Order: sequence, then structure tokens, then C-alpha cells
Amino acid sequence: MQGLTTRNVLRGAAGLVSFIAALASPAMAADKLTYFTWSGYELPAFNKSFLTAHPDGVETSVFSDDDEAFTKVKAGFHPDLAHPCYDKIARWNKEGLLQPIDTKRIKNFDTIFPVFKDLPDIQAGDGKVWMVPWDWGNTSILYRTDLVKDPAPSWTLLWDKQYTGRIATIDAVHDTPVVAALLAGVSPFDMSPADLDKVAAKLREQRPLLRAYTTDMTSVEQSLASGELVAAMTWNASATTLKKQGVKVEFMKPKEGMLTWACGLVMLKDAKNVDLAYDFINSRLEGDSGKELITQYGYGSASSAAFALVPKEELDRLQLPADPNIVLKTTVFTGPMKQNDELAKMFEKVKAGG
Amino acid sequence: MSAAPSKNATWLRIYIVAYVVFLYLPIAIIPIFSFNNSVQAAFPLSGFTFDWYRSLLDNENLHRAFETSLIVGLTAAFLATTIGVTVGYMEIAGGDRISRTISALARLPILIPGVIVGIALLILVNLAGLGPSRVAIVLGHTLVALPTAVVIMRSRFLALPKSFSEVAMDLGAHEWTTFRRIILPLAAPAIVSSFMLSFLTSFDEFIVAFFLSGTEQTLPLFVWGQLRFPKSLPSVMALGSVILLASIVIATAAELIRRRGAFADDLPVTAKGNLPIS
Amino acid sequence: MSVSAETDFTAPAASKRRQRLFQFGMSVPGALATSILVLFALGVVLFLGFRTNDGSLLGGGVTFKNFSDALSDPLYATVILRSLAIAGFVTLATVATAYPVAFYLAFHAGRHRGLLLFVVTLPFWTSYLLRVFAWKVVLAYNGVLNSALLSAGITSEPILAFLNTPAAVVVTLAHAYAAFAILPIYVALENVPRSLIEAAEDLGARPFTVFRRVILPISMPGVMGAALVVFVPTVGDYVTPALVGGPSSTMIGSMIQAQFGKANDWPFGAALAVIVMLVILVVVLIARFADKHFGSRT
Repeated sequence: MQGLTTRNVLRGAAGLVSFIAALASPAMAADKLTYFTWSGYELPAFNKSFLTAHPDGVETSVFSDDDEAFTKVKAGFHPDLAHPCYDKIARWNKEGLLQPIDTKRIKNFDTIFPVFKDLPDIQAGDGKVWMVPWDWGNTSILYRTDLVKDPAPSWTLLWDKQYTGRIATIDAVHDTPVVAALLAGVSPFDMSPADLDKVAAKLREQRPLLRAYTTDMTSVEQSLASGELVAAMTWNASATTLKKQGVKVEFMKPKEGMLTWACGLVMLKDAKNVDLAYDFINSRLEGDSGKELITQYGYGSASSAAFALVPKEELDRLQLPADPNIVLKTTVFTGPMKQNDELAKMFEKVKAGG
Repeated sequence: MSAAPSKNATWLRIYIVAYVVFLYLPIAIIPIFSFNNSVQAAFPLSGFTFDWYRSLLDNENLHRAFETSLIVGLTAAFLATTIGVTVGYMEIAGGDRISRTISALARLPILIPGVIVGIALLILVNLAGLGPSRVAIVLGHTLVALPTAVVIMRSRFLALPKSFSEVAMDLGAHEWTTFRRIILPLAAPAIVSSFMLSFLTSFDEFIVAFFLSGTEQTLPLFVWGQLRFPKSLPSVMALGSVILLASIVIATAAELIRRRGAFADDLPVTAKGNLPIS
Repeated sequence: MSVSAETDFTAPAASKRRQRLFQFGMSVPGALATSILVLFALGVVLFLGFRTNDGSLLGGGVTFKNFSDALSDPLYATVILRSLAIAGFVTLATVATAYPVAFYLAFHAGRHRGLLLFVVTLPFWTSYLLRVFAWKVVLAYNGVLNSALLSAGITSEPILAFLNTPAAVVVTLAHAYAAFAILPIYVALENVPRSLIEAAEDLGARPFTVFRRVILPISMPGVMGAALVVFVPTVGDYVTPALVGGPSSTMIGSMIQAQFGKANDWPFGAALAVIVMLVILVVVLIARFADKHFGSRT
């Protein structure tokens, strides 16, 4: 083979290597905002003005659970913005993952309901916050009214032996273990080791009855629609979806209280595109964005301006009061849990059978 | 060689057919339902459609994932094959203990479950300051494909008649020249085959990529992400069919090339063994 | 292909240097790859297993707690045993069903051997995730198998118990790794000296005896190789239990993944990984011992 002289081979190899190296280097060219969020929250309709100003300017990665997000960020993944929930803020902060957000740069910050704006863990002092609240909603039992006859309004439905194999629960630390704690009579937010044991026992009681621990809400919705499941712990968006489809379901009001959660946008400490990030947050706090959230998913927007844009009949249909304070009177707000790490580890063990 | 009596052979043949059917049936489900006009993968079938394949064309994230898989696969294949060629050659040609150890170590990843390779490399790339990223996946896939490359290359080098290089060296050529002008061309089909199979290994690989991915997803990761949406089930089937087809084509091509290469040694001169000179 | 003595003896110094340079250059990629990606990476995992979990990358001070917890806690023993059992069943099923195929290929396939070999090993090169996913679709509540049974009138209601069970995990894994097992057995059977078979037959042995006392023992190394190549990825798998296994099928691979995921305890995960690797090492040693003991000719 004539051409295969040393020089040619080396030239060819060098060319190939540099070509591949050029391809393999991260796409640094276009400065895109990286946004790490719950699956389903990446819809372009939620940040229309951002996309008008910066077409194709955001690259979204999704997670199914914000503990999964936490570990991924700790494992070295560095997005610009992320979307955890309020109960995790202290934990993210403790690891030094966040940088404070200057509320002076957030146009509509004051349209956020005070109950969320003034949450203790997000205050960073000096007009800055660790998290800009964006969405809130409820967690409860979604059940088939034709397959479950007149259940007592209580979380114990998820522990009911007669529905063994047809119950599912959410695979997240701030949902299932919190409910187990409520039923075990301990406070989920500050547990002693003895309390943790009680919660573990309650969770162990539930395990043989479950079909799945999951964060895959659309699968759960399908299974409820087909009758494979009769009852499942879900967020209120699933109730909205299935009712729209005409499935006979009801979102329970348990006597121990539904869970209410609030989540929002945080900026990671080494975010590369800070200005883009502020643009994004501003675009999310426009009334339009919150209105989309309400009408599409039935979740609450943290922005009062958004609620103003939704007609009252719609809000009534969604069973969503325009003032979160009304909801919070009867629900359990998932705030920070002091023993989150131990609880997470224990929950993983129980799920595996231990 | 006297085979078992033909009665046994008939039972065996039936068994083989049943085995192959069982082997391919679940895999065949994927293309079948990719043309099915229904969101659920269930019988009875509801009519033929290309819709799901069409939906693949519009999906931005899918294109990005495909691009990432392509780049990662090509790079990992290049690295794995290069390392495989050097390691295989040094083990067979040199034969010293270090080379043999390196070759054994290079084939070790086969004995390590993917989850452990994943976590080991995750720690490694964090130590190196890279974190989960495309480069991390390239490193991971190079490691996963390395045993394949080494096995292919060393068996090829083993099969090359010694006489070729010995003659060249006797005639005064240096080892590098011999390698470049005799060994490499003769091993070229195996190199191409190794490259293609390494690429395929990376293209299909999920477990290690799961640990090492940053913002950019590979195709299998994209599929995994889509699995949570029952509505996108049929388009995942369509995508799966395309991936299956690509894998089959590449594997077949690699096999054909390898075979042609293996027969290339039978030049008229050396058909009967060593040259009269040596 | 080693450099012959004469060349070495008569070559001038410059070309000897060139040769050394060549050999050095050729050794570098392999040495780098194996020392960093294999030795160092595994070493770091071993190291991390002995560290405490303080949230930092390499953990805090030295501790044996990870290992003592893993070995003393009944949960992990259960999960490891379950993984061994599932991997064991899968290996047994896969190797047992692959052997006749390899046997046919070696002794009966004749002209079609290459084609048939390719056909049965082709699934090896397809995406593992797709193969598992295919089974999820087949076994689902409103999936292929249930709907087929329903429309054929064999059942009146979908069977819940196909999916989300350890049985589903075994079936899926056995199918996914079937192709892995054929090649090693085939290669070993190919290497059985035909003369031995002929000799046995000439001495009056019936076909089954020939198989049992000549072919099977000589092919054992291949069988062991196949068993190993199926057992290793199976024992550490977490994708299949996650997709088709349900809560009662957690395997050790899932637990390791969870430690690097939500349970957020990297050192403990590293310790579990070390234990799994030791288990695999033990199995490899047993396989080699059995191989030597039961006589291999290679």
C-alpha cells in the first residue's frame, strides 16, 4: 500500500484525532441557558417571552424527583437553573450549591403571594432569595370511585389490605414517608431515631400491598384509567387530567390533611449564564406563564397576577382557590425536614425489602 | 466425523427453530407495533400507519440525542480500536510479561458489571474535574468497548502467519515499517470490524451512559426518558425499530468484512504454509 | 512475530533505538488506558468503600462501617442472595438452552454453520435496553401477552402477575443474555478432537455415552466461559428489575445505583460494589477450579 508512509499515517491520525476532538468538545459555541427541572415543566409555553428574546436559548434536562436532581448536581452536573421544592432548599444550600438571586432584578417579584415570598428558608438577606417560588400544588389520593366503595377520607386507604396489588405511591421522600409519619403520629419535620423507626415500620406495613413506588405520573394515570390500579398517591394535576378524560376518579380530602408543596427556581453557584438566567426567571413570573400552569396542569401559580388572568369558573372546576392561604388552612405544608438524609436512606432500604 | 443419527438431528432442528423464534419474537414485537395505529401495544392490531416514524422526524431532542450518540460512538470506537490494535500487537509480537498483563487488564471490564464501571468512572471524572459530560461518556464507552477490540485484534494478529514479518525483518525492515506496511494492511479488515463493533457497543450502551451523562443525552438515555410517557410508546417503538435495523446492518457488515479479511491470508504464495525461504 | 535474534544482533544502534521507540509508543495507549481507566478507577472504588460519608467526593476519615453494615444487615444479605439466585437461575437456563444450539452448530450445521451462528448471536449486538423494554411491552397489564390471551379467549381478565415480579426478571434476563452463551460453548465444541469421538464410537460407545463421557467434559471450559459471561452482567443488573421487576425484585445492582442516586451514600455504594466484585471473583475461581478438576484439554 503506497500511501501508507509514516508521514501520511501520522498526518491522517492527527487529522482524525483533531476532528474527533473538535466534535467531542462540549457545545460551548451557543451560550444556552441550562435549566434542570421536573419532567413536564419544560414546556415552551411557560416562558414565552424568554424564547422570543432568545430563540432556542434554553437547554432543558429533566428529572423525575428533586432528590434525584440533588444527587445528580452533587455528582458533578452543573446546570444554570434548577427547580427543586421548598423542603430541599436548606439541603441544597448546606452543600453550597446555590447562589442568591437578587430580587431587585426580578420585575414581578412582588406579585408572588406573601405566604411563599416570606418563606424562611429562602431568605438570603439584603433583598436576595435562594429560590424564586413559581408553582405550588397538592398531593393526595386519587382513587376510582366505582372500584373503591365509599372509602373513609383518610390516608389509610393506601394501607388498605383489600386492595393489595392495586395501590401505588409516590417514590419521593417528601411524599410517601411524610404521609407514613402523619399516620404514625410523629412530626415528619423533626424526628427522633425512635420516630424514624415508627415511620419505617409504617412504610414496611405498606410495601407488600403496593404495585409500585413511582414518580411516573402518566403511567399511574393510565393504570388508574384501565383499572389496574384502584388508588394511588398523586399530585393534583393527575386528577385534572383524568377528569378531563371522563374517568370516574376523585381526589380525596383526607382527614389528616393533603400535602401542599411549593417549588421554585434556584440559581446554581457556578452558573455560567447569569443574565440569561434572570431573563428566564422574569419570563416565568409573567402572569401569562402562571396562567398556562394553572390551565394546563391545574397546579397553583405562586404569582397572584396569574390567578387574576384565570376565570373564576375555571378555578372552581379545578378546585383551586385563588388564595393559597385558604388551602394551607387544611393541608400539611411540606417544609424542610431535619432528617431528610436519614429518611431518604431508610426509605431506599424499605423499598428494597429491609 | 460421524454425526449422531438423523433422528436426533431432526429433534435438534426443531429445537433450533423454536429457539430462534423465542429469541427473536420479543424483539420482533417492536417493529410490529411501530406500524400499529394505536397508542397501546396490544392485540388486536388496529391498522397500519407511518405516523410514528413521521413523528421521529420532528423531534428536536431526538435529533440531538442521535447526534450525541454518533459523536460519542465514533470517538469511543476510534479510541478503543487504536488501543486494541496496540495492545493486541504488543501482546502477540512482543509477548513480554507487561504486554500480556496489559492485554489481560484490557479484557477485564467484561468481568465487571456495568453499574460498577459506571460508578468507578463517575468518581474518576469528578476527580479529574470533568464531571458527568459527553467526554465522560466517551471515556466510559471506550472502556466498555475495549475488551471487544482487544479480543478481535489479538485473535487476528495471532492468526497472521509469522513468516510475513520475519521475512520483512530479515530483509532489513524496522519493526515500525513492518508494522505499517505489512501487519496493518493485513489486519485492516479486523480493524474495520473492531471499529464497527466498538461503535455498536457504544451506540447501544445504556448503563454506563446513565451515570456519566450531563446535559447531553445519548440515544438510549433518550429512550429511557421517553419510557415514562405512555403516550410516546409507539414513537419509542418506531425509534427502537430504527435502532435495531441500524445495529443489524452494522453487525452484519462487520462480520462480512471480518470474514473477507480472514481469508485474505490465503495468498497463492503462502497457501500451503511458510515461504520456502524461512 | 518476535524480532529474530539475528536482526537484533546485527542492527546498528540507531535502528535499535527506533525499535525501542516504536515498542514504547505502541505500549503507551494500552498502558495509559488500563492503568487509569481500569486499575486506578477500581482502586478509587475500593478506597471509597473505606471512607465515611460526609458529602465530599472522597469522603471523610477511614472506616470499616460500610462493609460491616453491608455484611451484617439482613437486608443486604437478602438482596445479595436474591441477586445470586436470580443470576444463577438465569445462567442455568441460558447455558442449558444454549448448549443444544451450539451442539447443532458444531456437529450438524455443516454448510449453514456461519449463517446460523450469525443469526443466533446477532441479538447480542442489539440494544439491551430495547430487549428489556420489549419484554415490558409483552408482559404488561394491557400488553401483548395479555391481549393475545384475551382475544384468543384463553383468559377472561388480564393477568396482573406477569409483570412486576421476580419471575419476569428471570425470563427477561434469560432472553436478553441468551446470545452471550452460545459462542463460548460453540468454540469449545468446535475444538473437541473429532478423532476422540471416532475412537469412542469405534469402541462401541452409544451416542449418548459418547456425548456424556467425551464431548461434554471437553466442552466444559466453554460452558464455564458461557456461564461466566452471562452471570457477571446479570448479577449486577438494575435496569431489568427497574423495568419489569417491581418492588420485590430489588437486586444488588439497584441498591448500588440507589446509593449513587437518592440514598446519596457514595462510600456505602462503593463498599457494595467491592462486595459484588469479590463475589464475582469467587465464582470465577470456582469455575476455574471446576474446569481444571473436571478435565479440560486446552
